[in-house]
Amino acid sequence: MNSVTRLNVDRSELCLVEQAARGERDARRELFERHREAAYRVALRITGRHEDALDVVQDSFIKAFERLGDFQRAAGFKTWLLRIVTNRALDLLRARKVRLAVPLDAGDDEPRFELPACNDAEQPGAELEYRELAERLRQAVESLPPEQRAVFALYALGEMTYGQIAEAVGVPIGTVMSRLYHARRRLHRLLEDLAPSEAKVEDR
Amino acid sequence: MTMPDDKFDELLDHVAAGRLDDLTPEQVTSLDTHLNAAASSSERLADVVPEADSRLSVIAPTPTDAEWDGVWQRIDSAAPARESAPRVIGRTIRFWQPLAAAAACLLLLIVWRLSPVQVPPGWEMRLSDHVVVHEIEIFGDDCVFVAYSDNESGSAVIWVFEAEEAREGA
Repeated sequence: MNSVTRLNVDRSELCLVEQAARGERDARRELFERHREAAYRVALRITGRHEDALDVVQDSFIKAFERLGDFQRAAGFKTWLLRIVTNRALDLLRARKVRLAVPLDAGDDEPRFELPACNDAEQPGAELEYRELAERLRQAVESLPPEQRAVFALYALGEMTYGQIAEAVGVPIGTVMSRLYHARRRLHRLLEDLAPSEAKVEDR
Repeated sequence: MTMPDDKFDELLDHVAAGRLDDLTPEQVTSLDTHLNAAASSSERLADVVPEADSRLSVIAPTPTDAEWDGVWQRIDSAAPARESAPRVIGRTIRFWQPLAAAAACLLLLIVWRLSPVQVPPGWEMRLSDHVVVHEIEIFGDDCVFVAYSDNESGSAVIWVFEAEEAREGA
């Protein structure tokens, strides 16, 4: 991989990681509480299911704590953890695809995908609207190929650099940029009705 | 497709400035290839956070505290943590407890053998030459000692000391 990453290493976090590597329970708990939300968001973006995302978070932390000895101190713990989360979530997707292959394989190469209609009338509150938006986005993200979905999931955290995403996914920065470009483009097309002035993306 | 370096720089400026969507698919493909071949170019993007899009960042639901607690419990039980210092001491105490009880029992046997014995008329009292500590039972802070004694006559004696008695005897 020729991506170059400059990662800020949080010293207090390094201490925590070292304590956790020695098996200290409080340090592990602290690491879990610091990073569980990010791990969950990435897992949910990739798997699309709340329960699966929680399972992925759980398995990833277990694996991370087991392998803290392998953790490269030059990289951030969060980036390293999110790499485990991404791989675990993609594994789960592949397993799910295998399970679904028999009943759904009717000759279509593309999975069938249909967004629910955007019905903004008679929505009683902002929360419901937010939930509908989240559900539409979830379904749109499910239509992305897994490798684009993984990049998008990390990007959607809103705080990771191209370098960190490349580190977490294990691909060069150029590939991250390219996958993100195509993912955003597809999502904008699928969610065009949410913000027509911004979302119109034409094939060029 | 070949592209002059200054054109790549221009495209990189677009991406670094958060205008990735302005590029065409062909330009992205060229830039991808260029970045992956030139480390110095990819360095320019390494610290750049891609432009946010509020429509693409909504997420629901989020786990409840109870769900997080459940996840943590399973993580914690799957990867047993090292005990803290007081618990290590506790384990050490537990480890020494049976040894202390055995020593107390040995002491009781010695006291028993040395103590004067009231022998009923017509009875012969002999010390056993074969004493086996058969079982030591510990319930919390109390110790119950069971000794099995067997000599040539085949008689067996079981001694049971309650905690109070054991402490007094010791």
